Amino acid sequence: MLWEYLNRYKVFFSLSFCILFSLISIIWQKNPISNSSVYFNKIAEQTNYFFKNIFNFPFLIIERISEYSELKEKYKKSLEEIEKYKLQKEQYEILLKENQKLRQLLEFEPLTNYQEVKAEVLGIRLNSITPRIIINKGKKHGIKPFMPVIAFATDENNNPIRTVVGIIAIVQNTSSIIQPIQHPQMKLGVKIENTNQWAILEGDSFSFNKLKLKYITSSSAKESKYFIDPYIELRNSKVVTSGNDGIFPPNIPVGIIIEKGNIDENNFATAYLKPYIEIDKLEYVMIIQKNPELWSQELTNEIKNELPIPLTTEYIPMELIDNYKNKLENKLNNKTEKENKTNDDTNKNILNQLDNKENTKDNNSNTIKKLINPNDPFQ
Amino acid sequence: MLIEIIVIFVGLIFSYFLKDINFLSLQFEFLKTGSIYPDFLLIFLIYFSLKTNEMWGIWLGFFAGLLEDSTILKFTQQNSEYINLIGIHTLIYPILGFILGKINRYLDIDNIRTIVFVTFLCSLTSRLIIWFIMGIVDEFYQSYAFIAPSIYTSILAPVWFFFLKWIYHKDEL
Repeated sequence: MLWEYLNRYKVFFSLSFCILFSLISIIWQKNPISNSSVYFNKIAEQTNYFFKNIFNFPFLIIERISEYSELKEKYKKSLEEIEKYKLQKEQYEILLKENQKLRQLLEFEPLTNYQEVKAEVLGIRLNSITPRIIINKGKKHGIKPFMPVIAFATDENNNPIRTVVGIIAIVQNTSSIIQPIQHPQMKLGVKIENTNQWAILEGDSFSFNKLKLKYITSSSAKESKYFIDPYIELRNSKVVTSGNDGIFPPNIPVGIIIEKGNIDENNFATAYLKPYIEIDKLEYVMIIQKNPELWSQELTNEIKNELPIPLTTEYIPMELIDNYKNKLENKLNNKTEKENKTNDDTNKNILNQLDNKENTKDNNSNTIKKLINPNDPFQ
Repeated sequence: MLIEIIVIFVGLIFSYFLKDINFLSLQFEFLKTGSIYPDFLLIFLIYFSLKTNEMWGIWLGFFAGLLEDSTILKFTQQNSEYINLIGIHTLIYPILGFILGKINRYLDIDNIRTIVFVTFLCSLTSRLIIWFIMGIVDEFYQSYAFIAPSIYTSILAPVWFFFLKWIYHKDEL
């Protein structure tokens, strides 16, 4: 009876199910079905990988044959280059030691070398509302969310460089999904190498090869020469990671400025950047095994859902800093001595940083400021 | 029946695969159109919805939507993590499949002009609605192109329809 009834109105029930399922999934985004869709996607990806191998097989053979003929010549050149690099390595080690000594004398923190994991790209999805890259390394290989991803590319002078690809977004056992810098939600803290101006790189752009740099900092203020024509200086400038986003180490090349943008309503200059990474041609990437900086995690735990305040950005409105300071002081007062013993140092550091921030801001308190959220790993 | 379903779903996955490897994608820097690509999954859905009925349209739309949605990444501030945003394509595609399945008897699907027009209309409408829902749920992305991919998809649709017809011998289904 019920079966007959269902069968009679099967179209109605099917459509209702689909609509209901979709609406529930949109409203309740972290539902178990959404989570299990990762596995659905994994099956699809593996089927894709299978198709891809079949599809690419004839091309691969042709490519390998043509590569083989060039191999002999490349081998000879490589041997010559290895000799050169041997000499360079010695020089590098001398410089490194010298640098370490100088850092020690200046009481700077020692440079950190992070471990890297090489991964093969299984799929690059650009034809979606949110592009993403799938790689063959996951939890088993020590990959965690928010680890920075880089790859080899060439710069404007055809020199080999390591450049930014994106951030690890979702990690499964043996594979991971990367959010590339071309993802619409991506916001990456960068600086212009020649001028040390800070900026935010946005992924939400009309083209994968032309990304927008927003909030180019104070040097672009009206009295600055850059404001008059920033591109006398800025065009063809190299853009690197600032290291102040808590995710990427500093000074990793991102791209080169190619075009002038407008001055926004807050008097910040904008520009357009061509990333070094050619996302559609990626074959291998390297995951830097670096977790987000401790300060961003501490802050996330401390002020989650309370105040969207970062510590190390110059865009913070003073009233929010005061507000945050008051809250933090109240919290410190309310805590027991035992708790204070463990957390005091961290909180004092935060307060010190805020005080420093306040001092540097005094001279320029009327400038227009923008909020940047430290909890947001894209910044 | 079961074999038919399996064969059609292999076709669905293959269409997704073609989309996934950015097959026949174009990029015209001077036009500022972004990446232009034919939506093979949508063409597949349109073809089977027009050739069969609304029931096929709904379920093919649903699974095509699931495949598409499983690629959407969203960062949630609240939990500081990434999630897959399910529900956007699974809402639009079944409705599209249902409508096409309902109106197929009024359309001459062997006519190239009809194929081009229907595909363009479906592509443009679905993209606009998807962009709008995505904007409500997350944010309005300016990187999502509407017209160029719709035109490209509709131009390739007759060729793909012919190919699908040849593969599936649809009259027997």
